[in-house]
Amino acid sequence: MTSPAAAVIDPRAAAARHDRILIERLVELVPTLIVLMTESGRNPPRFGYENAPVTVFNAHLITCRPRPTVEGNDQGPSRQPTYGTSGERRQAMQDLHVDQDQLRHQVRDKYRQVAVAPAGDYHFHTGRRLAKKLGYDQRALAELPDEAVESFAGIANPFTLRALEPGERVVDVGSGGGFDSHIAARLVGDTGTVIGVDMTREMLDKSRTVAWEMRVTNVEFREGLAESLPVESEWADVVISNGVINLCPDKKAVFEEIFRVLRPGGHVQFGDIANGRPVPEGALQDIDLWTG
Amino acid sequence: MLEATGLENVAISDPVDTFGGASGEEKARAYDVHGYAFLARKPR
Repeated sequence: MTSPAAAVIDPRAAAARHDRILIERLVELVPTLIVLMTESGRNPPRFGYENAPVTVFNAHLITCRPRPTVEGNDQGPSRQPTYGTSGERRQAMQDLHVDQDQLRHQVRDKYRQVAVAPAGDYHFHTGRRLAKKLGYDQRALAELPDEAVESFAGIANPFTLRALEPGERVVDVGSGGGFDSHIAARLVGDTGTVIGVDMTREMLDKSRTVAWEMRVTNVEFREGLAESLPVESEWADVVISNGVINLCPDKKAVFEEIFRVLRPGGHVQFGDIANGRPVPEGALQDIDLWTG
Repeated sequence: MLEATGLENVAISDPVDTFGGASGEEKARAYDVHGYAFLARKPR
């Protein structure tokens, strides 16, 4: 997991290298994207909230990310979400309760605060206190520096229902400050790889800096959206996420992306919230309630 | 929604009182909001 070479890598240079790699991979994915968009228009995937075992509610923080072109974060050609052109897809988008861009903007602002001021006053717990409450392995928690834990704002422990195995390739959707990615990196070991994806620049800076300081070489953090993950199709053995999907208004698109990046037989394991009582329509349309 | 996406073998953990003791606890209680761990598999 560690390498002497990592000790001489500058965080900003590492970030620039990640961005260059991202652009190269996005360019490579253009033909695949065209096929995906065409196929989704011909055969619209069957999604339905009515089949959800529980209703995923939106009361906590976010991790679906804004388009890279927002606020000067243009990293080159970006993948658009793989929305089809069918009437079903257009209707699904019209049925969203809030404006996606506005929600992403608020979510990014909220998580920017959590990144730079993790001890601030939030409606949720953060850091080590939260990790202990959610039942994370105490020994693994103790081995991580404060900077890797303090901005953690997850909902549950994504590793409780299935343990990661050495050598697995993991995608962390909405990796935030990198806490779950670092836990995963230790579990999959030197032969495994973890790609964290997040939309908030401050969170990415933090997670990359911590990785550099810890000399971790099997984890990489990329800028991207949950609805358009910068990961090639069927790359991942496992997709993890924590407290992110509930903040994404188009959950169908998120799960479609998770399905795309998973290899056949791969697992998705995530922590999120669900409500036991129906939420009034007015509350769903109140964007302030999405971000707390 | 997981099954509708094509995933299978969906499992859900027991609820976790994620917001207990936090300032958001009152809102969470109002709608019976808890944290859960979810697990599902993409078919082979």
